[in-house]
Amino acid sequence: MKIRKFLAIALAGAMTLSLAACGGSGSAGSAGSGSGNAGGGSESAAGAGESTAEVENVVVAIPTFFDVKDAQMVADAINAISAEKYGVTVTLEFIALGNWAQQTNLLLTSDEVDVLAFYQTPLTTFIKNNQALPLENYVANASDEFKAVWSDAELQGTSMNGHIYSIPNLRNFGNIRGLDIDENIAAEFGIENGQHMTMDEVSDFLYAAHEKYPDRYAIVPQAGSSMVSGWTWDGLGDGKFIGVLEDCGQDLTVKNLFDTDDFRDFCSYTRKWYQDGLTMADALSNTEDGKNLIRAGKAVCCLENYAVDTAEGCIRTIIIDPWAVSNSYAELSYGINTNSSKPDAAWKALEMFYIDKDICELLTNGIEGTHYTVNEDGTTTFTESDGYQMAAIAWVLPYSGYAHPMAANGPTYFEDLIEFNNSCAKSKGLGFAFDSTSVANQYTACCNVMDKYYTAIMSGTVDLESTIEQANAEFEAAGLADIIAAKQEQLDAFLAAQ
Amino acid sequence: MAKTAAKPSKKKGMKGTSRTSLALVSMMIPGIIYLIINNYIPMAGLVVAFKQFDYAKGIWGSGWAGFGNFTYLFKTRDAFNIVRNTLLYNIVFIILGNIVAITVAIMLNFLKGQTNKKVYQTLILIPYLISMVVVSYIVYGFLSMDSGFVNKMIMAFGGTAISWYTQAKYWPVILTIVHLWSGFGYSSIVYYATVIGIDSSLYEAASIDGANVWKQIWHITLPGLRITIITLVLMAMGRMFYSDFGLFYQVPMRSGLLSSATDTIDVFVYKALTQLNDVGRSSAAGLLQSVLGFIMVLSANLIVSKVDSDSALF
Repeated sequence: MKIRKFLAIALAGAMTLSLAACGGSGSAGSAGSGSGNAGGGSESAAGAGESTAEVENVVVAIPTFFDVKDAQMVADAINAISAEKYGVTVTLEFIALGNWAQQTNLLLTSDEVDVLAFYQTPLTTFIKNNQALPLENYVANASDEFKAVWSDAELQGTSMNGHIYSIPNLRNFGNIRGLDIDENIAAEFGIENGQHMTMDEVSDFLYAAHEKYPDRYAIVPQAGSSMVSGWTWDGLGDGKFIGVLEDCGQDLTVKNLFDTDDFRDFCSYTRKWYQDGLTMADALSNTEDGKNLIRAGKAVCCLENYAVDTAEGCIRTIIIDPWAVSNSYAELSYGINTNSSKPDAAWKALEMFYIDKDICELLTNGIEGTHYTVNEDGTTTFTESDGYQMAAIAWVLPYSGYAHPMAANGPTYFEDLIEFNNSCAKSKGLGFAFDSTSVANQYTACCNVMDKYYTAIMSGTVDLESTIEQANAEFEAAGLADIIAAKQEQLDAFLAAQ
Repeated sequence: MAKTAAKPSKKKGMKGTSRTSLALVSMMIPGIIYLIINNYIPMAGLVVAFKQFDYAKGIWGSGWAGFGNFTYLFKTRDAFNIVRNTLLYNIVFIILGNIVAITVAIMLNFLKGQTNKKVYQTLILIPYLISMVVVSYIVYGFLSMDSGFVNKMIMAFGGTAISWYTQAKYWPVILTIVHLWSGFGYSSIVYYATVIGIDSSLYEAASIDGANVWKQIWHITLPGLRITIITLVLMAMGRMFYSDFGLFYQVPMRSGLLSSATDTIDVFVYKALTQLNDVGRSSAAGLLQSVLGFIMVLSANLIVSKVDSDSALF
């Protein structure tokens, strides 16, 4: 009896211990992997003959669309250079876009991440939550190479109240709005790549194409239920468009989007298309990408925003010339976590991503021979390995301007991109970001109203006048006027300060 | 008298139990530790609901916001709408859900043959196991404009296709049907487990006394189910202010136009907070839901204990 009791207690104790050990080994495991990375870094540093004590390891979080299996291999290659040259090593954390907002929010509560992309959530929110470390002192003391990458005016785009909170990354800051058309059908109708079209010409083409290809949708949403991402209105740092500037940000009066001529013009076209059966009937429940539908032979064309990139199987026309919205620089930028325990090392790592050509090449393309090969014209082709294909989404990386472009994008892709950014028209509110704190309740309520109607009206699935009337009544009740007044006031103050 | 007599024996019993089952009790320790770490310690985090959360300062360092985080729940015009939706849907779901589940449980009991019972039990449970994302596409298969089954039928009979995803008025019915379809299997099995526990001699006696099937159900099965029904309804009432997020968010395919009929508190809070990324406000909404749910359970239990004290949970 006694023995049994003893055994039972011993077993229970063992269970407790093993459970505790499970928890323990879990955290020890992750800590181990962390220090393993750091160890890898310091090893290479030791190899380079540097004292290991000075090399600090920085965790960098980068959004991705796919699994990056060889992240550690690339990080090791970067560290082999950076440990000696900059005194830092990096751990690259690639986080899938679907989990990005949640996971970075958690990472930001501690110092588990040092450098990260401010993405998906507006930069102003990160600033308001005190998640982004002000960088102006670092920028002021930065190397000349760094200062050559971004002008002071450009850094205004990621600043607020005189503090620089993040560094823009290299991608297209402006967008052309145009029509992507199936290349074969475009050829039949004599429409060429890069051709300008008015909305009336688009409309004529759609009716003609519908007649000739009745089995295809003449036009489908750009992606999901969204007819097109943005148009000629500027939300002033607010992707929900609660209070906008019309006319590509050239008109400085903040207005209700639904009352602007730009919006009503656009929607009068899409409404007519929908009523005449040109638009996909289930546009609001669509989950497909428009270009995929075109390539699959289900659709003729879709509206699109783009810069210098091309779309396989489609030609691209221009309806609205390239222009940049006011928060274009802040939409995706890299900064430092306020809770980082080593901000100085974090800055060194951030800076080297923008100035070191070899590191940029590694971060963009991976390791030559393993992940890509360089063609004769200086473009790259992926190898069989799919371990590192960030080049396909180089626009999420800090800076790829020094890297070899992919063959599909052409040999002068990055030069073209930088040229495109310099030449495209900019909203007069460029650099302004609306702070919704003072009208937070109204803003939440108006966002709900906007979510309710925006995509539906844009796609033409509902009657224009009656729905706008209904929406405006709800906007009024939700306090849109307060938001517009606050936005106008902040914008005027911003413009006066310039 | 009875009380005083019972007391010492009870005490003795307790003492005896604690000594002999010390080992058993000690086996509870891991579970209790788990509960404390996972369920009780994080409750301290509820304080965030009253804070102006600042990531640099952490939970305890952030400034107080008083009830400031709660105001947005009441200031919007949607507040009435979302509370009404949440409560009405839950009331309908509780009533219809239980009626359907009990009916099915009794029907299962009348099935002859073990194989039949096994097959039906499995079949009715399948919808419960399907993810709401998949369910949303099954519903879409019925309601789509281009290829939906329902619209094809309507057009076959000469009608015009209905744009289901742009008109809110249909959705209370659609969501109720979807909810009943996906949930009835699970709750009917819970009821069925009680039904088969009812002493079969009662039925035999009743049939000898000349009671027909309906009388047997009314006088034996339903009274036998009473405690299960009360327990399940009480538990459901505790969740009156919550809703099945997948059902209300996924199944309408996030069509904004339906929001007046499909926005419940959870969905509204999710939408509002993904825009504002405000930890304080999301905790405020969660805290409010818990407190209201707790009050609902207490008051429902109070009513039950007044009416029939044996059936109350506590």
